[in-house]
Amino acid sequence: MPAINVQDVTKQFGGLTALQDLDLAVEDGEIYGFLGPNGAGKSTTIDVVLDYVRPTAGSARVFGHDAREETLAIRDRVGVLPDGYDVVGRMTGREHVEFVVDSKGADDDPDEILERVGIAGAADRVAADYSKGMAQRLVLGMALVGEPDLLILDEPTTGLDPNGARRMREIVREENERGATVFFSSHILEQVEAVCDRVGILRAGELVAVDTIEGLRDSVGTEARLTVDLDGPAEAVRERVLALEGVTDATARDATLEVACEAPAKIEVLDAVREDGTAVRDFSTAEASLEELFARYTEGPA
Amino acid sequence: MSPAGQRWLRIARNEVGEVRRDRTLLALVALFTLLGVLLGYLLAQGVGFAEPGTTYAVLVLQLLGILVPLVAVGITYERLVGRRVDGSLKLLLGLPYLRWDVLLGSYVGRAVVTIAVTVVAFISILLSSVVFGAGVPTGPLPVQAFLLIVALGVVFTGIGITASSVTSTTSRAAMLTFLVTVVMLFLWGPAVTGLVWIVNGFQFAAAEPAWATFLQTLNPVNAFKGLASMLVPTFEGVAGLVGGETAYQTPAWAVGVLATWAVVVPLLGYRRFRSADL
Repeated sequence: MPAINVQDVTKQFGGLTALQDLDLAVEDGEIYGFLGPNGAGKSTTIDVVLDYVRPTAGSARVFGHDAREETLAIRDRVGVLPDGYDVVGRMTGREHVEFVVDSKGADDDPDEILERVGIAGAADRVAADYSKGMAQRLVLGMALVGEPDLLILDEPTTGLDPNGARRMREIVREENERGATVFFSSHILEQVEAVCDRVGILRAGELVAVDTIEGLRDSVGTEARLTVDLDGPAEAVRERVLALEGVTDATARDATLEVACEAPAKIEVLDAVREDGTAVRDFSTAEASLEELFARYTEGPA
Repeated sequence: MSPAGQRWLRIARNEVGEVRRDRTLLALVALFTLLGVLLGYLLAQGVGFAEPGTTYAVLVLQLLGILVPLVAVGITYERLVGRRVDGSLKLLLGLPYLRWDVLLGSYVGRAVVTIAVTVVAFISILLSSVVFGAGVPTGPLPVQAFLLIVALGVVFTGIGITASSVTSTTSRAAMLTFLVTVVMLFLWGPAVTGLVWIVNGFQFAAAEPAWATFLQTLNPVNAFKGLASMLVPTFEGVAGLVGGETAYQTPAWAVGVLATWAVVVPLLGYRRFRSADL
């Protein structure tokens, strides 16, 4: 049974479509990275899964429980770090964790939790006065209470310094080794690259790619980026290059042509440019990175 | 999974706990203590609380009958919508709570705070009355007056929580609460009179028709005033609302109106809150 199963979900806010026929499955026991630029619909997806918003069509299930009908059964088994939250009232850090321990009927030691997320020193301070990074650590700690079967973390590294982000990834791994499924969203690829088993890339409310990091790397591995400096305007040859087999993208900027293509196609690109009668003044090649792949999935025309 | 009763109670307890942490609420308690001391002093200077027809009981009912409802809406109108806007509602609903638990818990918790503030006022009236040499007020009137003020306080707690549950921004919640409060306190009567004027062919009627009296009784503030004028005859209620001949002019009806407002309005708010996009 998948930990999260989103089926055919469409969500419209007024006239705006936030999600369009989204299907998403997170397997039990995996770390799933949910990637996409800001506004792609990541938070809305999480909101639907946790019944914070109601889908216009479709449904979501967590461990087989319907998000709308069996909300409590779901909330009993998940730990949540929502986006854009504020802490609750004027409680101290420890009181926050104690409240979660009470709410979940768990037996965690609040101080241990605070120690684990690195804010034990601020346990007795009012959490509303915490810095953004400290509040983020506190809420992560709250999500860990009661050893949840599923952790849903919405942009968990926001506001964290590099140390905090590393600690967060360590905790994600520890929780996963304990047996928890982790679903976490980010708009930064490197945050998920280091820790996720699988990645789903969301763009404008639609899932455009789902693969393992390995799989993404493989598809990137055969790709190269070729930069060609020409004697004349690059726009003139762009169409011709784009038509070549193995070329996935070509952009012209003044006299510079940027080409993304499979490695063997590089020579053909140069040949095509010369056949067109434009002289090549210089060229360089580079391996494409995951970042570029991510950028291609999430930027430019759909 | 914890039983429903424990869930909303936990939220309610947390709400009450805010009194200890929130300076605004502490200030409120201090203010009502001071007010009580002042009223106790006046009591010591003048006539006893228990004597029917005293100006003193009227003063307490009128003063607290306005202040307690204002406190009630003041401490509730942004309770849920504020959590919605700052996102702490998502944090709360990431835990094993339903929206119903949050709404009921907030309502009950804040009602307890409203009642506590009223208790504080009455206790300090009592203490300062003793200190200033008037002795302990006796008889049923202080207790009845207290219960009546508490009832109105709870109704307005419900109104504030409801406004807070059906709006999506704090400023809208504030507007709605203000509007409803003003209508309840000042505009209900004129509105009914206006309606009579329209129905009567844009002329004032010689006598108030029965349906207009009925409409008047539906305002919880009128129910409060009617019951208060039964406790203290010199309390100026709305003429003939409680103690008239029909079923809706009885004290039981007035109590029913207060109870209905306290229960039905928040339930209507829940209907909206239940399916809102947070």
